[in-house]
Amino acid sequence: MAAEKSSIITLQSNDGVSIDVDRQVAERSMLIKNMMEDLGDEAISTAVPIPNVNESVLKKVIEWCEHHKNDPQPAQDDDSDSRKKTTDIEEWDQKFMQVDQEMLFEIILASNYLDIKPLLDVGCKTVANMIKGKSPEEIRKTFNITNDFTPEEEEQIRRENEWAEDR
Amino acid sequence: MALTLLALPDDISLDVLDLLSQHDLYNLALVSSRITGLAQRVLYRSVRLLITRPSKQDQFVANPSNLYKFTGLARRVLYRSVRLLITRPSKQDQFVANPSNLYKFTRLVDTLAQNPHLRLYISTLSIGVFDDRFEDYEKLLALTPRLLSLYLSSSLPHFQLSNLALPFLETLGLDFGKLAVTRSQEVEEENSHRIEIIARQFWAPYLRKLLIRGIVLSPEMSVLFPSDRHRTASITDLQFRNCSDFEVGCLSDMLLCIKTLERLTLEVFGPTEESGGDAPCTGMEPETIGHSICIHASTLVQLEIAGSDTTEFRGSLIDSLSGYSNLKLLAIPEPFLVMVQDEASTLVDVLPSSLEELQLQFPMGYGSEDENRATRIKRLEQVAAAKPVQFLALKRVVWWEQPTRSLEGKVVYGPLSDMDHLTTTFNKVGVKFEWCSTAFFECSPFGRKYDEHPWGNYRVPKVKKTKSLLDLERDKFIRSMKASGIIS
Repeated sequence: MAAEKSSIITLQSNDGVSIDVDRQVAERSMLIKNMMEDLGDEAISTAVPIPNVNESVLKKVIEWCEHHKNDPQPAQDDDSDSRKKTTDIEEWDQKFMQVDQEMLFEIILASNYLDIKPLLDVGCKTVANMIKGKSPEEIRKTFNITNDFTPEEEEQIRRENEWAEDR
Repeated sequence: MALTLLALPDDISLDVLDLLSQHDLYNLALVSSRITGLAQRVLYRSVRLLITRPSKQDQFVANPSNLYKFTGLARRVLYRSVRLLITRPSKQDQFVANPSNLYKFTRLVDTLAQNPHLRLYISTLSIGVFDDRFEDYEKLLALTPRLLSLYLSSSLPHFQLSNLALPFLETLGLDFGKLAVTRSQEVEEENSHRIEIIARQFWAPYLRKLLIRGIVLSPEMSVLFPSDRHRTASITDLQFRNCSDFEVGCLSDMLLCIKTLERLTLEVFGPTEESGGDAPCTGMEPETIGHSICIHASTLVQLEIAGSDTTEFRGSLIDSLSGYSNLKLLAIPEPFLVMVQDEASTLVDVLPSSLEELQLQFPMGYGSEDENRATRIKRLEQVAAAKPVQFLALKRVVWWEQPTRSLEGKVVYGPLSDMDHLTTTFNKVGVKFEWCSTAFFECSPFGRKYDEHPWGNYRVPKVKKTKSLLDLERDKFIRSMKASGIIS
């Protein structure tokens, strides 16, 4: 076949670095997939600019897409009933997400921009797991957030939500 | 500047927060003023509250008045929370003193009364009340008129819902608890009251899903579902758990009042071993139930019927389901579909070709061995054989063998090799075969879906691996050891 799916496309990060990727791998991104469908093969000859993502993050995202290139595409309309409150992450993804916090948030933003839903899900679950079971002070420490409440404000929020407190 | 949690766009933050529990959101709201708003938006979206009687431990800690008599010791005990119950605190004390219960409810009502913006977030409310001194739902419901889903679970004799006005409601779950075992004037009145509550909500304009647990579908209540209202209610998903009546009672009138039904779950609670013939229900009549359901034959996608462990099945079969052209999931007792002992009575003749999942309930009663096992196996072999031509969509078949509660885990109705055989037979045609042995529908693979709705967490049925399963596993192990010559 002439237009075999295994063709290579070039992505360009916002810091000007060009990276060659298998089309099948790049098309884990719905943004790129839709673009390829719209533009057809002419897109292959020129580098595709990814304006919101720098080289190191783009490489990391491509690494994920490479590993997951044979996964089935996620269903378009995720039924809210079937969406469970699970934060289980498969082992490979867990290791993949062992990065510093800045990189973690960059990956989340990139996967959101590039429309890679399963990677975005893994990112959200990773962040949720960093919050789970922690006290407010521990959460602040984890994410380096300063407590900007006055004691009165804090007490007010505490009282407002008291019904939800575990005792 | 380094990116932080706060730098994520709101829609992504909300996805993260959706994964957190009520308690985690409570903590998160206290982290920083910039997070409070988001955390509360998710926290208040789905409010869950469980009000129970204080545990003994709580009562003890909560009521220090008795302990003062022991002063020195008392303080040490008080803080260690050792179980040393001196006297039972009065009911009044327990109620006021235990902050985990009613206090929470009052706090929630106060908060909502003072913060209109938080009220707007609430779309789902699940309240479980297991403390008979509480009956004030209406205060809370009055503050959440735009509610989309409401789940109420209570063992109280009365739900006080006479003025419930929730025009936007899409899902309503009413769990009235256990059915009364005996019939009395009082029980009947209470039951009528429950059905009146249901009838009042039945025609809510947006109501799609109605879940009911613990009522008797008494025929006298048919008047609440009159013929001039036939085909007018917009409910598409109707589920009864732990309900009863010998005949279908007012169920058929309810079904007639629905425009288009896509899912029906009917779990009938038969007599228990203790109650004998006194129970409100003594059996099921497949034919009568079939007549009530067939008006929705062309739209039903999911049909689940189950009887509790000692239910008797009377009369003739349900009509053939082959005309149910959209039916994908069917869970049904075997005596609905075939004459159990008649080999000529087959499953392939009565199942619809659209079927994807089939769960057959085999009520074994007090029997200790399955006399009809060979016939049963044969019927399923026929289904497997017909898969490639007749049941192209079939993906999963479940064999649910149902002992009575007293025999649960004690009887093995047949050799495990039968199950292995069926697993292989169905595997060959690309169908997954599973089996289980349990006395209750809630523990069977399809019944277990019950856990998934919001109040399910309050009542997780004990899914224990029954002894018979373990025994069978052991048998399997021993057989494999024998087969490989390790033991003889």
